[in-house]
Amino acid sequence: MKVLIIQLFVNGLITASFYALAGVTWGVIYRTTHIFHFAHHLVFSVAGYAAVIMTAEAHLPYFFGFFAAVAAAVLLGCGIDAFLYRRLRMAGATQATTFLASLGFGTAGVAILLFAFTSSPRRLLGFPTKVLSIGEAFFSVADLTMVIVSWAMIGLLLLFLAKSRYGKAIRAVGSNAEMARNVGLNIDRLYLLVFGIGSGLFGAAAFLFTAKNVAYPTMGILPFFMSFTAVFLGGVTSIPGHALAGFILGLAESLGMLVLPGEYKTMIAFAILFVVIVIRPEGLLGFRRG
Amino acid sequence: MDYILNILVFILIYAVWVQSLNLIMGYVGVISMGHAVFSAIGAYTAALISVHLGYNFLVGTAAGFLLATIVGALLAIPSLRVRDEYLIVFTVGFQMVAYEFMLTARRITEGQGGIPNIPFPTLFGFEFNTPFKFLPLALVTAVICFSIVWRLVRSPFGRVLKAIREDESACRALGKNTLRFKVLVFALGGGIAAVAGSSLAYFITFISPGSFSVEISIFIIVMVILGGEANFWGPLVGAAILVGLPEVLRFLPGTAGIVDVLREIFYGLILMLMMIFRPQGILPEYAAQTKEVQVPTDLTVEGDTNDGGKMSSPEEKQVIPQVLEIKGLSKSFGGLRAVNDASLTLSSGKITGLIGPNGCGKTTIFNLITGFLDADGGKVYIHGKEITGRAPYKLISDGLARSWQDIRTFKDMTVLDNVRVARPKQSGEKILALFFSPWRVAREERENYIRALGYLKMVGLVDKAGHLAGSLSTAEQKLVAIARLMATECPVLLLDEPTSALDLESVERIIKLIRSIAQQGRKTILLIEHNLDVVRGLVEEAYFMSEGKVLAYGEPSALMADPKLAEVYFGID
Repeated sequence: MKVLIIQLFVNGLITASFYALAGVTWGVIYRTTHIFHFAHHLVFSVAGYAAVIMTAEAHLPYFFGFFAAVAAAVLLGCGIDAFLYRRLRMAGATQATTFLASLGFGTAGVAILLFAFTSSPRRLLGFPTKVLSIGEAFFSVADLTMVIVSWAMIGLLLLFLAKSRYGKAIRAVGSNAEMARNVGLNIDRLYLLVFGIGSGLFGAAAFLFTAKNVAYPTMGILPFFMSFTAVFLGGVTSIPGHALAGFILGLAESLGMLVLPGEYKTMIAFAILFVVIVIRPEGLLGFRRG
Repeated sequence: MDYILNILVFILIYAVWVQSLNLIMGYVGVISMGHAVFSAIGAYTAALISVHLGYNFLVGTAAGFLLATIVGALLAIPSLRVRDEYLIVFTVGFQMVAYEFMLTARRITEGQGGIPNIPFPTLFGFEFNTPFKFLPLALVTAVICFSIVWRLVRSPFGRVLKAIREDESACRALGKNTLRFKVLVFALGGGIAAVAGSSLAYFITFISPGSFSVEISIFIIVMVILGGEANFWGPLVGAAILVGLPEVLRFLPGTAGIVDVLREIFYGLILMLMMIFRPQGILPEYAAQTKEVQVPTDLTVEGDTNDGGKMSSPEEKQVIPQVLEIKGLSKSFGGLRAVNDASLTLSSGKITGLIGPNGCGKTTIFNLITGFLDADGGKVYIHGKEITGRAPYKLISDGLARSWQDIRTFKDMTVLDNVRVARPKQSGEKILALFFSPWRVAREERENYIRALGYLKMVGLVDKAGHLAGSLSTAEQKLVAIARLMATECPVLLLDEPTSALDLESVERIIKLIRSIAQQGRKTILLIEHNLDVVRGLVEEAYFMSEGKVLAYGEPSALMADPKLAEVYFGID
């Protein structure tokens, strides 16, 4: 039993790191643009397949797969903003309209992946598969990389937002787009930047996810579900809140297996979100706008 | 032949399903990503009841309907505290959790394999066991469900739904308990979807989780969008096209194995392209920009008589001169003290001004009085009765109504409906009365119609009654907002910058109007205003605010003559 608990705890830390990263990727986009970017799940899937094609089809070393995943994610994310959302913004579309367009794009995209690659899972090749252990807990190289990469990226993102000129501009746009426009910030460019950042980081996560598991057309749905759940759980206004909430969701999912069967992942996450939002609508670290 | 009848039955079942979502999405403007779950509740309840207990399909359908209404109502409750995009999150979660439940709770749902051998419906010994026999049953079901929705959306109830969609805060300020409406609509929308679900179960005699996945929820959304949100016939059009489409695809050469994938691609693209090129759908909510409105020739102008008296409570007859009293109101946002120990009193039948530089807390005071913000301290009394912290929608019955600096007309509603929706105490806003006291509702509606036109005549917009409010100029929209405020019959009105951003002529017109409202209509008015000419023209006495504090009270000209206050006002350092 003790061994099981330790193993579940280690698994929990790995999943938690992944969800924390997933949370900030969607969080930085949503906090800045207020676009309910549903097609984010497609970005994850496309990045996963990009990594598979690079390694399993083109037989290149795995770090090419990593770059391909990130590049594909950035291109797709920015493309969606530049060619779909910007167009809707110019037409004065409501948040609901943009959400529905995003939903449509994501649905069509996944179906196209299904058409092109079928639903049978694909494996990424070349990534070290060695199993490591600390005491009685086991984990893979991909797991360890996931933990390190996730927190490094979250740290870098927070640092970028807090210190750099662009980071400050992004925060300003997120707080008040109208005001930011009035002081001369180029909203469209900043939106493109956050879509690039959010998608790129999600692409990196997709590479590690594929290295650990496999790629399949709907692979992005669960990570995306966890990412936006983390954003609302942590509080829309707080990016550290998204990471914290993702961490809690991952840990709860893993430790939840002590009492519930493994299929109840989304149920645990949803229950936590429901309770927190009913008690504290602004989320764990968020604040209410006056 | 059976093949075609089969498709027709499916179209009817889906039309009901889509109509139930149209009620939620089109009329109330809330996106539900979990609408397939309601049908799943109907389908599984019906299947379990008919397979295990052997009850008639009517029992199964009714049980599914009831269960889904309860679940729908529960799902809407968080919307009390959170904004609409959270409902997307909740409904996605609801869909995913419910789907997992269908897959894993094998003892109830029989998991992935689903429940086979559901008996065909029977009625008086007649078995609906072929598409030909089932078609009349599906048709009757569709007609009943469509009739219910028809009655709802073309009633005072439906008007409030649209007002919630257009601007929920403004709707609450008109005395509507918007949560109640949302809960009712989610319950009823869920219930009707469940009826579609149980029809599906009884028709194909087999159900499995695959029929109620998130893809199906999205499919239903696509049908609503394609047909046209908030158009009554849209769901029928959307269902007919999208249920028919894959059947057509099947006849194309070389598509045999990939119909399902192609269908998904099509749905996604249709949704996206509709949002870009035709968000209003094939059948838009309004066929024309204006609706025909019959204006009676003997129309009287409303507002000349004191409507306010009707609303008053018995104790008010003692005439308390201080109609509205505010004592020591305070509110901080973070470190900023937006309102700091502010006290003011409104005397009956007078227009009192509230002036001060931008950002001094005037609108915050309005939000505190009307319950849109919770005060940190202080009390508000109306006619001696404390109303501090009462929910915004309760204040109309206390006789207090407000307007908004940013106007907030219900843009995608006609001018007439903008005014009619503000009428208080409508039995037509209650579902039971709609169906069981139709004559009372009809009588009230006739009165509403005449009175709403009367208010519009008062503001001079009776000839625009049939136009969509959003198509009017800013000045006209401000007039609509005033007519809407008058229609609440409240004796105390809070006006937030009624003349801002208007040309001189319109300012003149609104000044005259407000003066006549106060004098002939004997309203008590608190007026926030920046334009000093307006203040001088309308107001005998005014409060002067700066940095959250009430600094002075007196005649406007005396206030402005005070060099210290003028300095604060004009920001001369």
